[in-house]
Formats: sequence, C-alpha cells, structure tokens
Amino acid sequence: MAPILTMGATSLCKVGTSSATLASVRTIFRMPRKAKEGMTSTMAVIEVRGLKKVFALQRKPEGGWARFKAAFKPEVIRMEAVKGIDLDVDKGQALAFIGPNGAGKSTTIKMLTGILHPTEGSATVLGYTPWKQRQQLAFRIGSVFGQKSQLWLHLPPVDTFNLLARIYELDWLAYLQRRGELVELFELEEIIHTPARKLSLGQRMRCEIAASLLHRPEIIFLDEPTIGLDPVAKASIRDLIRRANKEEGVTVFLTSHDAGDIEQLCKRVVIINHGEVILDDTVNSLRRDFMKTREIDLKLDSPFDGALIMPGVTVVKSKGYGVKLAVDIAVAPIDAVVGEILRTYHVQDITIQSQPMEEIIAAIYRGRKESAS
Amino acid sequence: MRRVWLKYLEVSRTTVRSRWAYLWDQVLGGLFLVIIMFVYVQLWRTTYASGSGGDFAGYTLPEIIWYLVFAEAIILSLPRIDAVLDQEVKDGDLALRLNKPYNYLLFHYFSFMGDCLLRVVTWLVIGGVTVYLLVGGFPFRWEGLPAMFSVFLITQTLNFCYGASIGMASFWVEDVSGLYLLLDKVKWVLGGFMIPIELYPATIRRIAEALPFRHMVGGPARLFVKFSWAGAGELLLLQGLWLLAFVGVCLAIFRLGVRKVDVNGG
Repeated sequence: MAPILTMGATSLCKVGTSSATLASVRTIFRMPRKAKEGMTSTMAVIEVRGLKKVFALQRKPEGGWARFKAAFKPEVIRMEAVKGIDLDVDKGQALAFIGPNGAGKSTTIKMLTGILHPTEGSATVLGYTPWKQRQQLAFRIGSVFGQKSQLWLHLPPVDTFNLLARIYELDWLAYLQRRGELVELFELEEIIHTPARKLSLGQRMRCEIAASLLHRPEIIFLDEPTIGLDPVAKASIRDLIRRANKEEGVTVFLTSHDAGDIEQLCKRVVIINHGEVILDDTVNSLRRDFMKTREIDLKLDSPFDGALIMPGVTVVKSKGYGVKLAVDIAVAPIDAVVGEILRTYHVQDITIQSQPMEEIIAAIYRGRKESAS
Repeated sequence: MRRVWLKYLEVSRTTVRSRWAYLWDQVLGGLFLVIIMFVYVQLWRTTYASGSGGDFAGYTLPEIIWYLVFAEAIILSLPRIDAVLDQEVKDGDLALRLNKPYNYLLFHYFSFMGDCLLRVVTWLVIGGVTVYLLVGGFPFRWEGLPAMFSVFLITQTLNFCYGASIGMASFWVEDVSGLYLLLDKVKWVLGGFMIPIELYPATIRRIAEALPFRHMVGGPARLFVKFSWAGAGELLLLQGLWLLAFVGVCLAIFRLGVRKVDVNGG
C-alpha cells in the first residue's frame, strides 16, 4: 500500500475497495498495444515470444509409509510457471512487470537474465539469447533485488564498487570517473566509506542502485527496490531510478507490489498472473480504469457524526473519533474531498492510501474471467 | 585476459579485507589452538617417554608436534565453503551470483583462497609460537618454501573442491550439514589430521594411502616437516592427478545442480 499524503502522525490501514467495471476491462483488452498512450515504437531491447517454463515438482504425500516410498520413487507433478508469454520492451522504456506472489514474475526475469532455460519459446535481450549467452549479457544489464544485497556487509560500499569495477572489467580511470558521477548524483559522499552494515536500509539501497549502474547497463532489472523503506527513502529511491531512466536512458524493468513505485516510475505496466499476461497497458490507463479508489483514514477531534455527504465518498467504517472513507476519485477528486473534510472537521491525523496492488490485480482478473465467459 | 584474472584477484583481496573485520575474533579463537597444542605436547611427551626412546615412524617428538601444527593450520584455515554454497542454494542467492559476468565456482574459489590465506597465517603464527615455546624448533628447509607453497595451494584447492561438492549437494538434499559432518571426519581420520597415517595399523594405512585424503592434510604436513625435493615432486604429481578428478566432479555436480534448478525451479 502506498501512502500518497500524510498529515501528522501516520497510520496504516489495511483494506481498500475495488470498483473495476467489466466495460473498462473489455476496452483495455481490445486496445492494440502500439496504439496505447505513452508507448513509442523504437528499438525493442527485450523481445519475448511464447516463453513458457514448466517445472517438475516433487509431491510429498501424507503419511509416513507413503512418504518413505516417495523418497525412492517420488511423485513428480508438472507446474506451468510461465504459460507462453509475449512481450516487447523498447529501449529507454520504464516497464512495471507486476503480479501476485507465484504469478511467474521471478521465473520470467530469471529466463530474461539467463539463469533459467525456457521449456518453450524464444527471447532476446539486447540481441542476446539470455540462457545461451548469459555472461556476455551480464556485462550489459544490471539488477537490484530489494531483499538481497550485493554489498559486502563488513566493508564500505566503495570496496564493493571497486570489486564490481573489476568484475565488469571496467577501465580503471573510466570507472573512477563514473563512480564520482554516481556518488554525486546519489549523494553518497558521506556514506561510501562507512561499512555497509552500519547504513540504514534506505542508504544501503541507494548504494545498491549506484553499484548496479557502475558499468552503465542498458537495462536494469529492479525487484522490489523499495521494499521495507520509509516514505522518504522510497521517494529518494524512486527519484534515482527515474533519473537513471530519463537522464541515462536506462531501460527499467521493475517488479513491485507498491502501487506508488509503479505510478511514479513507469509508463507501461504488464500484469502477470498464473503465468499469463493478463494486462499490458499504460499506467495512465491502469490508473484511470482500476486505481480509482483511495482510502482516507481520519482521526478527528470529536466523534464522527456522518455529516460528510459527497458523491463518490462512502464511509467504510467509523468508530468514535476514527473514520475510514473510500473515495472514487473519478467522481470525487481527492483534493476536493480533503478540502471538504478539513472545512467540516478538526482533523488530528489523516492518511490517504491507494488501493493495494493485489486488489487491482484481482479486479482485472475477475473482469477478464467475466469477459471470457 | 589480464582483466579476467584481475577480477578474481580482486575477489580474493575483497575477501581478505572483509575477513579483516574478524581478525581479533580469529586471534581470540587462536586460544583454542594453544590449548589443543598443549594437550598434544603432553600426550606425545608421555608416549615418547614410554617408548624405546627413539622415534615413531621416523618422527622425533618436535617433528610430530610440528606436523600437528601444520595439519591443524591446513584444516582450521578452511572456510566453510559447503555452508556458503548450501545457503546460497537455499536462499536463492545463487540467482544473484549467476547474473554477474564471472564464473560462479571461480568466484567462490578465489574468495575461499583469500580467506584461507589470511587464516593460515594467523594459525601458523599462534600454533608456531606455542609449539616453539613448548618443544623448540626443527630444521625447517627454507629453500623448499616455493614448493611447499605450491603444495599448500593445491592442498587447499583439493579441499575447496571437496567442500564445494558437499555444499552443492544441497541442490538435491534439504540439509547438507550431516553429510558434511560425516565426510569431513572421514577426511580427518583418513587424511592424518590428528596422527600421521604412517602410525596407523597396516590395513587402515593401506586404505588411507589409496584415498585422496592424505594429499589434503597429512601429506602436505609431512612434507613441511620432512622436506625433500623427491617427496615434493611425488606429492605434487599425486595431488595434480587427484585435482583433475576433484575439479571434474565439482564441475559435474555444479552443472547437474544448475540443471536441476532449471527443471525444479529456483
């Protein structure tokens, strides 16, 4: 969940509501990809055709004897993690590749970076077939995993940078110049000589992204880069990714569960679920058609009296001084609602959040199923 | 080509710098070696005192104690590569490593060797000083130092392949710690870690001589104490032959393991 406006002490709420309509889902699925807003037809740096991955998983049966037998003759089931996806990503594009856990995102990324071989289909990344030319491709791509660190914990980031410069076989003088640029851009002067274990998560993530850009990759794969960060650190990381994309032309391939990352960084969004692409559109369309609910959590000076009556605003829950509102921003602009609230009540605390990505995906998926039937 | 090797040397250098943070922990851990060596000296003094007054299998008392210092230094300087690889496979860090432009096993090998060199120096200094104070020195053949260093590098390369192969078993089994415990102790016993294999009963000695473990612990320790050019040549040759087999096995396990990840998922 992405808080987009907080006043006073922040508090987090849990539930949002979905209001995706079947009509909007149908419209999106009829739309030709090239015609979509914000998508320019330049050179594709990632081309994926019918990419499929089937895993053979061992099933552990219940019961001691059955499990003992399975140790010698395991029961193997086939699991289709990715079911023949097609995807083109143009140079310089910022793409959000999202989906719930187990949707096939990581498997797809692992195939695109050459770690896994597909069962069927083809893919080229920067002209390379990733699983055949993994090492050559590795020189031209970068990756950041929000939950894994490439920094050496007991060493200052500068030592990891030096190691990466050697790993990517960079010319030393060119590397020093590049490091200087990134240190300045990412404001790392004060932390680059501090052991990584002593840095905050936000500082560490800035170093992680800088480390991934040292060798001037043409594509950067970002897997949950803002996970666990506070709003200020999130904003800083998003700004850095945006600058890498805009100023250096790095193609961004982002996976995130944070709607804020997607809205603020990407123009295009591809949603994958159960190994299939269920939506490939612009973030603007997604915002317009699916991300139109905001939740407002209020803490008032006096008990809520239900006096706030506005079209598009519904009271989800109220108890004593606290109230939770759902706002359909297509009907009631968020600034108008906030203005009305502030005029009507004395507010101690207010938190505005967008819909959780899981709910948006669920809405799209429901719409797709209905549309198919 | 130069840049390729520079990257692996930088891996070793970075590992040394990272391990440096633990240097004092390691020095404190050296107290363990001081105690162990003290116990060994008392044991062997008693053994030699109850014997005919000569030597055991050609070792004098100081020689056997120095043999144990070298054997301890070889074993105690080994980083737990099995645990590192086991963890990487389990945590999925393997994917993080595989998308970098280096050879996965070479990366770990150079990291292992960097760590190992730092540790061996620490253990040799602590163990050497302790034993020198307890039993005195022995006629060390300084001119053989380059050959001894080569033997040491191959010894630890064999140990790397052995440990890495165990660690990569985690591609197939849930937990490799039991396997490691078993196979490591087999290496200790049949490699002559706590007692030179020349002192074993004939049957066990023949088994130990047919296996590679003596080239991973006891053989090098014996060479450091009783250096001869012929002995060094023979050991290097045998180590070289076993190294080919070990590297082959290690690479095969890695390839099969990566294929398994490919089939069964990360």
